[in-house]
Amino acid sequence: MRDYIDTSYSLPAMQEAPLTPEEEAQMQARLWMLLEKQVRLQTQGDHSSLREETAAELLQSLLFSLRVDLARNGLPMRTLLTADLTDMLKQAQHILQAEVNTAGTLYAIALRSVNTFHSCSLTDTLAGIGQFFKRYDVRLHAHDIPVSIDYPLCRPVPETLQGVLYIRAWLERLLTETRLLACFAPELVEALERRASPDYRELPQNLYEPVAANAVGLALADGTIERLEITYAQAAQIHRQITAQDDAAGRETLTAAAHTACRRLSLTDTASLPYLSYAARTLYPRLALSAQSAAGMFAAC
Amino acid sequence: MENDTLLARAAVQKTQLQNVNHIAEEYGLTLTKTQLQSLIAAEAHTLRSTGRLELGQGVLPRLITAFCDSPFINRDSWADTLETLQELFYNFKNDLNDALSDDELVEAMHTIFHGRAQGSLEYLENMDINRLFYALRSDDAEDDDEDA
Repeated sequence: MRDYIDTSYSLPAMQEAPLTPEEEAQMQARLWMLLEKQVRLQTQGDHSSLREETAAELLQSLLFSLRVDLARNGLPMRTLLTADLTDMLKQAQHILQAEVNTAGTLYAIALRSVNTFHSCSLTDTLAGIGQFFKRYDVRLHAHDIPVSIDYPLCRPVPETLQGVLYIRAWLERLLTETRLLACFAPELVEALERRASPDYRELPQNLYEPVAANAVGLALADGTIERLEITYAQAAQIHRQITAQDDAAGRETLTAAAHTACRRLSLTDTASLPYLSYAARTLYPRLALSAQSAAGMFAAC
Repeated sequence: MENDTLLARAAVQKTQLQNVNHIAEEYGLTLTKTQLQSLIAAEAHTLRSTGRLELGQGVLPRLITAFCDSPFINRDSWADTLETLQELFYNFKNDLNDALSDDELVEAMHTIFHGRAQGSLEYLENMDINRLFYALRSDDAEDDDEDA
């Protein structure tokens, strides 16, 4: 199933043969000239030299931006050997600025809709992302993520995503997780979080995983999903159901349960189903291990 | 970063140095071709040792223009003085975290060299780097501060 997050920016625009040493040298020379321009821009001509690490950072930013433009236009890396790099960079900065605006909108939605359930890690991370929009420099440090993201998502954003693309993907995933949590009474979610981890407020723990596990489990056990409670007997039954099949079929059963849960919870957006399906498949090893392990995973009561 | 670019830069740098060398000649200070090459090599060494990259034409032309009328420098010491000033310049850039622009730093070095240091490069090497900021406040502020 297609990943709902567009990671194309992080990937080479298209498959192509590796650059020859001559092409590599030529590309470096062109990037070097672009770097010179950037330094003049950064220092307004006041400094003609800079620290090597600063140069490396600027170069990373340039490469990231140029890759964004290549990916957007479906062009190979070799384009950098002939294209007007200044022009490409300008276009990339337009694209990235649009991404900043989109991420800003997602952030505003997150501030309105995310229930942190008093998780310090989520609260701090959300507050920190607000600083991102003040600190992010699309011209000189486009690849940088100048804030700390401590809250762990159920499905981490690939590290290949950088800069605002990472933040946008992170917010999209958080909002997807939020949509599932919003399907349940907050007191039931909080009770489940406490059963799963009594110290969840202080620890950097994902809030989605226990809820996703219970939603999928209840769909499998034909229970009332909205109650968000799985008994020990139901956990044992799910364990038996899963281990009665081979691995592949067991994972398929979990994916089907994710479909059922989404349908019953009216989660019709394009992101929720693939996300919950992913979470459901990751349950398999512990569900198959033992009835006790299954009960622990569901925080059965 | 790559040889072609560096070679091209070295060629432009050499031409520019030859041009400012003519200005210094008016003050009786000249650099031979060998000395010019040696200064360019010293710049490369200093940049490596300070972990800096030079994207422009280097600081030598600025230093030559700024210091060629110095009463503390003579023909014999000219090349060595420039080499030391160049080394100090890049070290100061790092120590100051680029807080001063190239022009400001050269101006501050010039002010101190001709003021409190009285032509002593050792003084420049060992002074508190904050003096560079004081030196920019006004031409004679440094001496005034010190005397106070």
